[in-house]
Amino acid sequence: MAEPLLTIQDLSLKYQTAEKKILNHIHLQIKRGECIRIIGKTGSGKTTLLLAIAGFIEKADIFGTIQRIQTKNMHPIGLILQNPETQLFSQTVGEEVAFGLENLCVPPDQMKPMITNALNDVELDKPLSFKVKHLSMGQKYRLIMASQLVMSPRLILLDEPCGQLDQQGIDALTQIILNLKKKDISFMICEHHEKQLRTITDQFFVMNQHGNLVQTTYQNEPSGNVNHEKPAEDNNVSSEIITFRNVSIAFDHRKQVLSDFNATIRKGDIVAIYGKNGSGKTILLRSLCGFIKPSKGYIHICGHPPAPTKLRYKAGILFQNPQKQLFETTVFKELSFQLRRLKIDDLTIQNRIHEILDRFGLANFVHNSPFKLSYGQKHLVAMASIIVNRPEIIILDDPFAGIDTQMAQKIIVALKQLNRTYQCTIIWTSHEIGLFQSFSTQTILLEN
Amino acid sequence: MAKKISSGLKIGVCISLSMIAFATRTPITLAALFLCNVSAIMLFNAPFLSILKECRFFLVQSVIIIVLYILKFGWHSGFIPGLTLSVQFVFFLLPGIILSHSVSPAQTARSLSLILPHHLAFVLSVCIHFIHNLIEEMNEIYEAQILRGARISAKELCNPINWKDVVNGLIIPTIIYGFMMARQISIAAKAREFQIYQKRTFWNG
Repeated sequence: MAEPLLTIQDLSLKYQTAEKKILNHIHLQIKRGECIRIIGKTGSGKTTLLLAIAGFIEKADIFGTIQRIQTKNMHPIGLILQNPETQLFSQTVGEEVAFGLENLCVPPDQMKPMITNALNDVELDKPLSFKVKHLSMGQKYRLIMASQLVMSPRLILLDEPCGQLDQQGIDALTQIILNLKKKDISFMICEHHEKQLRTITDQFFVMNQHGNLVQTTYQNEPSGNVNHEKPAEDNNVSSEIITFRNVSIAFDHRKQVLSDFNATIRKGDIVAIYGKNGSGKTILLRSLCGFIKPSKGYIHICGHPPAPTKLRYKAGILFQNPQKQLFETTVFKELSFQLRRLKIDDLTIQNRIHEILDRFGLANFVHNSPFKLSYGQKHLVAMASIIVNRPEIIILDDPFAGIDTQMAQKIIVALKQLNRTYQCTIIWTSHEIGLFQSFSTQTILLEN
Repeated sequence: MAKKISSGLKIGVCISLSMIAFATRTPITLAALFLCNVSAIMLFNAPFLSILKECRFFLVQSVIIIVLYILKFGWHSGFIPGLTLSVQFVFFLLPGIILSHSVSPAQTARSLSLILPHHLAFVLSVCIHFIHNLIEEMNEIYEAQILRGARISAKELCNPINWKDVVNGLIIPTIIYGFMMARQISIAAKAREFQIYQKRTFWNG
């Protein structure tokens, strides 16, 4: 029987600044050509496990053993993180793939065939001089994968690969992993809820909230569907709040992103805007807030052309990775920032903040620094800081990317309540076409 | 034309332009330095519009420097020195932005490794080239904070009372995000065996 590539025995891990262990008594074994998939709530420790296997954990107490296969290869384990943008260092495709080879001191004249083979493995048919910035998000992900494959790893660790990819990108990735498995390369994938990856998975685990890894089967996987009732539709009496008429938007005055876009949104509508990566969802939202002017046509919001300072307190926007908007020293101060500007009395501020924190399960963190919370908790705090102001219009750019189903459900419930109680208009986007479609009264599909 | 200029020469020109900014204080020399920077943009075929867009943030910084000078030295004695210093600062940073648009990180690292240790050359080249990403992130944070109620629009920043919002709502989140980005980049580089050996080879493709 072949020797396993990786054996983890009784692994526990506690960060020195944390009170409890994030990984608890983990046992795992990966064989050649095997694909292991781990799901678990946001912040449950999936990324920590990957970093521990790759040997990149600092300032933590680690117990147990991680036994990697003994090999002459200097790069037995590859790691691909969630955000492609911070993993690309070069301007051209060739330079990017060559980076790892340069580090391994491979002679330059031997590099070209190795780079070409790696690009073939990920089916990225681009010249070596092709600019990285002109690749789509899916192609960038495949380029990162080629950059790992060129160093001949035996095991590749993938953190949330589907978080940034549209359906086309996910399908391509699935096929590539399937092909590489046949070449005896193993994979360990941490992912939330992508059904597509089921076809390539050999072992399936759930990371629970105590940091235990429990082997399970697909029947036990939490459903990706959220139990929805349709939001209250009251369009007969609602007035138009947003109008797009023949809107065309050119990015940097050159590239046409949107062309002749038309839509009417009424007060109290919940609008889902779906589109692949690069289809113009974020640009559309930014133009709606008045940060980008259409090159043709017009947008009216609340009866006027959009202007950021006029929309202040009326509209709240949450961009992708909303935790980067946080800046206050406590969760309470973060949520009360805008309420204080609105000169709302202290009692009302306290009541509103406690209500929303209770709803999001963050009541115990009210006096904590938002920066010390987990990724998912920061996401919720940023979301709560928008919702707590009860704006007339809430604009959310890919709000469910990178968070688990249960957390998404909490957000949807809070937004629906806001919609019902205050007739708040909600506009949200997603790169996963059809995701949480029942959480909308109107859907818009942006074509590339 | 831009392709014919070697990356080493581009780096040399940009570093020189940046250094000259320290010694340039009169209106005539500042104007000459401005023309030199514009010439560099044209000769290196750098995207003028993108650079102009990234320079918007210097406006905020310049306003703050000028107003601080006026507050300390009065209108007559403070305005010109404040303006000169803020323009010098812009000219100190501008060549870095031009460089990041006109030379690839790999070329930068290769050229810098002639005078610096290999690892330091790579780190420096990555820092220069992630300036765009950080500026884009800063722009995104700026837009979100304006709608959250931070008084940081150009008009609002004429009032010094609102400067606190720039620090709290824009600079602090950007610095924190910058640190997060630096950590991710460092892990990504290590995941590709950066620093496994003392030296690196360079692909000449």
